[in-house]
Amino acid sequence: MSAKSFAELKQGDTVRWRHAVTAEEVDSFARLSGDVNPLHLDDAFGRQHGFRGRVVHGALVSAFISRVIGTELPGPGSLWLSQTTRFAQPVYIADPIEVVVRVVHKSESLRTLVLETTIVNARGETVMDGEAKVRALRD
Amino acid sequence: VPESPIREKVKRIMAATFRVPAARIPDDATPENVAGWDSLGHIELMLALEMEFGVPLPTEAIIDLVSLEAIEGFLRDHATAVTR
Repeated sequence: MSAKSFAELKQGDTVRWRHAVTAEEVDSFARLSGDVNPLHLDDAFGRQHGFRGRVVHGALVSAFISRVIGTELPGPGSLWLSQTTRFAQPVYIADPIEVVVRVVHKSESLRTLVLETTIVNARGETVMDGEAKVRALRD
Repeated sequence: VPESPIREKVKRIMAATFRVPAARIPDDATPENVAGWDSLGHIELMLALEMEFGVPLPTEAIIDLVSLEAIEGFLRDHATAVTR
């Protein structure tokens, strides 16, 4: 889906984006953010603590919401005002995930959308959910 | 004197939006005396009111609705009987 104009957007509009996080992305995010927690970088550490291996940073997973907001819904010129986030399940390297962003409310006068933001894994389990409020700066 | 249903509901929405106990929302609530009612908080409050009452808020109203009293008055005039 290409970015619609704000006028075209309506309640229920949904954008989906699929991805599988790579080890390189996790390592890059650790360097970029400074979050070098071994839970994200060391498979053995993750297994010792009850996980299948090292766990993708939650902030990296939620960054994919930023991707959808900034490029598709509402797209270029959007201003991300707020985001609530709940990390429900771990995401592992190479696991396919799907980012689902849906319009739940559109305020014409505020030029702002309330978006349901959900990320699911290949088993259909929610790994992250929350709500974003985003202002559209362009028409 | 019992609170009007609209006032009670707006106080609940304000409390949830600004993440403060409802008891901390006074009858003369304004951005000056409610923690969290800043510019972003105001946008979030207006969105919550639109969603909860099903009433689109015109731009002029958004600028004017900066007190509990003003919000209650606007909703009394514009909200449907069902949402009241």
